[in-house]
Amino acid sequence: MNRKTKILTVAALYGVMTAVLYVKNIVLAAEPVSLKDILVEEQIDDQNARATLRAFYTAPPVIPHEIVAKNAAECLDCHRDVTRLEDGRVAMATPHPQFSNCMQCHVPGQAQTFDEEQSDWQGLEEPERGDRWFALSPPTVPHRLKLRENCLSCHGPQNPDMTMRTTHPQRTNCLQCHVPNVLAEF
Amino acid sequence: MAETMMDRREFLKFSAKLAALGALSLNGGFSALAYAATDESTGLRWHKAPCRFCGTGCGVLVGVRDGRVVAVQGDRQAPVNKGLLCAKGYHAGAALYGADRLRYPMIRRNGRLQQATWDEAIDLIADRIIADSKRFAIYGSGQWTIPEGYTAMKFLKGGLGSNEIDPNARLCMASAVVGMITTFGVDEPSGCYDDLDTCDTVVCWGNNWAEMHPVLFSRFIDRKHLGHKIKMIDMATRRTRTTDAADHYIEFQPQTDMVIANAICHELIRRDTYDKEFVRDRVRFLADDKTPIGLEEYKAFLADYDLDSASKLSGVPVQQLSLLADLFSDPNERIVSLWCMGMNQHTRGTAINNLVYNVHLLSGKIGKRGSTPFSLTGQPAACGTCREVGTLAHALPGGRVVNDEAHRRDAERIWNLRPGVINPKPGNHTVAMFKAMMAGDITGMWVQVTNPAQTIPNLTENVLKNNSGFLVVSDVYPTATTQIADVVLPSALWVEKNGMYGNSERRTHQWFKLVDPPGEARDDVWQMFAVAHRMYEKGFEGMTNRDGDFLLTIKDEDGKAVEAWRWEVFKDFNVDKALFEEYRQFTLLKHKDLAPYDEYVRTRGLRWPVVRGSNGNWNETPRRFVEGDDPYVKRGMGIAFYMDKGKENRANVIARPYTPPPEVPDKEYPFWLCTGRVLEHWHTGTMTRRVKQLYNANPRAYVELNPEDARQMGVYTGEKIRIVSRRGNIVLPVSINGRSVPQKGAVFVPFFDETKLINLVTLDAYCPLSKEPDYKKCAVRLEKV
Ligand code: SF4
Repeated sequence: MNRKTKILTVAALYGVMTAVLYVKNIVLAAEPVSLKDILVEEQIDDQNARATLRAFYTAPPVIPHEIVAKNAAECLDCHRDVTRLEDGRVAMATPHPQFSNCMQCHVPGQAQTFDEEQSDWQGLEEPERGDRWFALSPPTVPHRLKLRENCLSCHGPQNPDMTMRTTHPQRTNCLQCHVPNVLAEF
Repeated sequence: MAETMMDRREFLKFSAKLAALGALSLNGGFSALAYAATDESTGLRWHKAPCRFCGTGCGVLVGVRDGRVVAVQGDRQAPVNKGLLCAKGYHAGAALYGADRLRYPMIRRNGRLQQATWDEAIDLIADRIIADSKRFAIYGSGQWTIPEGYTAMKFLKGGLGSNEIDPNARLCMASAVVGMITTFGVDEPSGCYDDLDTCDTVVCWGNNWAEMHPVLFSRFIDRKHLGHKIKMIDMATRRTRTTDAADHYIEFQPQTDMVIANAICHELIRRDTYDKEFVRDRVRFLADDKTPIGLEEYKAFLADYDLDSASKLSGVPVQQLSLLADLFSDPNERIVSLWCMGMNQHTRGTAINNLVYNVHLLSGKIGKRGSTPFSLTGQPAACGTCREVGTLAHALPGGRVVNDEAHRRDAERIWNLRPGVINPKPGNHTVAMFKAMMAGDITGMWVQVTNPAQTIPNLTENVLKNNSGFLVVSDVYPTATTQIADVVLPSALWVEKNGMYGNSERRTHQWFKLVDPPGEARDDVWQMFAVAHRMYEKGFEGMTNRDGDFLLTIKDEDGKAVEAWRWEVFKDFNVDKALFEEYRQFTLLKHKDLAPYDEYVRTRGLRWPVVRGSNGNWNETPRRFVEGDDPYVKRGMGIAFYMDKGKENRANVIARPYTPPPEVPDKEYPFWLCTGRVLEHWHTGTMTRRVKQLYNANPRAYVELNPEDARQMGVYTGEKIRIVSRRGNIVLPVSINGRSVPQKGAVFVPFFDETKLINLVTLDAYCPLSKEPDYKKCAVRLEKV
């Protein structure tokens, strides 16, 4: 696949996906909904699913899978770049491969034995979508960039959460148009 | 109060402006000066604080909204961690919100703990102390803030005229203290974390810093990504995450770290590669009994530690011992030695600390950029509170000791006591204190910020049932210790109060109270103020000073006394600042000068000695004893150990022979048992086990076995076995090839799980000099169940 076909395939896939969602929701919804609403809803669902992996927005997510890796090099075998595993799962790329003690922050999260009743913790919620100046202007970056400096590790065309993917991966200088919120960046 | 609050509000306003300005800078809204700022996008207010947990002392930003902590992130302005944290630090906020936080005082009546008022509790405690004040003890903590430890000292040593105070830090860094004092004449590491940024090699002496000091570990190991040629040598008795990142793993028999250190020294001298100039000018040789000896006698002492003999004793191949000797022989190699509990919790803890200093002194690898021996601390204020304030049975603040007349006079002057109030006879150290409590020689005890019913070695049913004595426990959650208490006082935790900590690199941190404690929980400092004042009201003479005023009188900035023992007054007044300014006077004697409180408000901590320069700035000291860094080193001296008791600016190389451990595996008890911590949990897990992410990551204790031993026993991961020592036994599930793998013939058990008390099994033998017990080795037998 050359670059051009890759982009075309991604665009086509994206089109198909939105169409499927659109039809699914039209069929199910009592009232007509706009494509935009559906996308936002899907996005929020995806975001909520991701949020279950952290104690609060900006907390390091826990590791949702069984761990065989003994050290960072082994974690990076799958997580340096996006990796599709044989069973269909996708290992996301780390946005910060310069840190080499992964399990310093990301702890195993598979055992779900904690009794939720035991805690009154209410963590900071995930941010809303980025602002736009007007309908067609590029949205601002709604989240912090700390430890997320590499945009494509989450927004790249390979992310299994389709709602997170950029529609234009050919443009690689993201912050040229999507401005970060410096006031949120401590 | 009004004034302090004004200052603070002004400051906040100022910092908000800075935050706005920050939009222009790449670094974001948090200016180097500001300690708080608002995040426009989320409406959160972020405040600086040190992490609640380990001795690394990372800077965090605590996100507060509507009176609750909702987020924590690494503080990029913090020089320790530069924005990164470990899993414990990120989740420190959630540790405040366990559903079963203690919210009101409780008093044991008819065998059951029942809700009581603060007034009842304080009255009862005051009466009990008055009834037998000389036999009332305080058992404190390396997690005490500096003002908390200072208050306890003044209360007990000044108020009760007794020395029955010791901290849990006795169980973790006492050997480091005595090691430092015997070698350098003064306590605390001279190097700093910056040395990890410039060294070529790190040598870990039984130190799994990948889990125990994770941020320091990554600060070093991440340098590989910058292309730095760095090495790590892991000397241990167990393969850990540190081993996974190490370039060499050197496995030794428990206790033979002493042999290895002496073998390196033997080689340095045999090869004639020791730093002759440095040894001539800066080193003095002492025999084990501290009598001065010459280099020749020292050589004779080392004769037993040739590589072959050392290899036989330690189980380390000659080649690996040579590798160490090669490194220390190379004058261009910059080496940091790191250690923590592996060397400190050791029946020869003081001696092994001395021996590692010997290695660095002979090779001249000290006081140079990237070369230093570095004793890491476990607890966030083990240095700031236990070591500097000196909350120990024999000590007084600022490096003073009770059996020195001049030191007592100093303390009596600063505390405005009647002459002779301070008792010259040291009190009981931790292990002895609990034995005395069981024997009835101590009749009451107040425990703050620690959980001895889980951590005292060789716990016995006696301790667990508290068959004797009146026990007061201040804590934030129900623990093994609150269960046996007679009075339980609910405490404020971390950012629910003002505080100050001092970390492993001599850095003193300050933070402000950010949220209210739950229910009726109150600051530990206030609790002591309230009891002290009640005793004063009841006419207890000790609680008056020389002028007949209340001993713990606090004054505002106009010099007017503040009724700090009243909660309504206390909670709005910065008592920390007043206590710290008073305490600061103590710090000059040993040249551990601290700056005024406000300097710590402005900064992300300062490393002492902090001395005012001619331009009026308060300057910190990155490396102690080093000219240019440390203002107390005279020009032209280079490196000067200026606290040398012999007044020659020398450090002592002490000839400490290897001594075998008190209990070694035999036929009946054939395995070594080692205990320790894990990354996700803080000590006895009372805080971290109430955080979902940390609990799920490591819910329960287990016993790690070497795969070969497991095969021989025929047990598999998850199967339960019984661990039996001469003292007690527990049943635990087996872990094979999990996170860590002990050497053959050894097992490891973490101590965080209150449902599995491994200290029923451990030995209470301790270092004769530091009185620190050895949790790292005893003999056990394994039984299938
Ligand atoms: S390394 Fe220690 S101080 Fe730093 S975040 Fe972890 S527990 Fe806190």
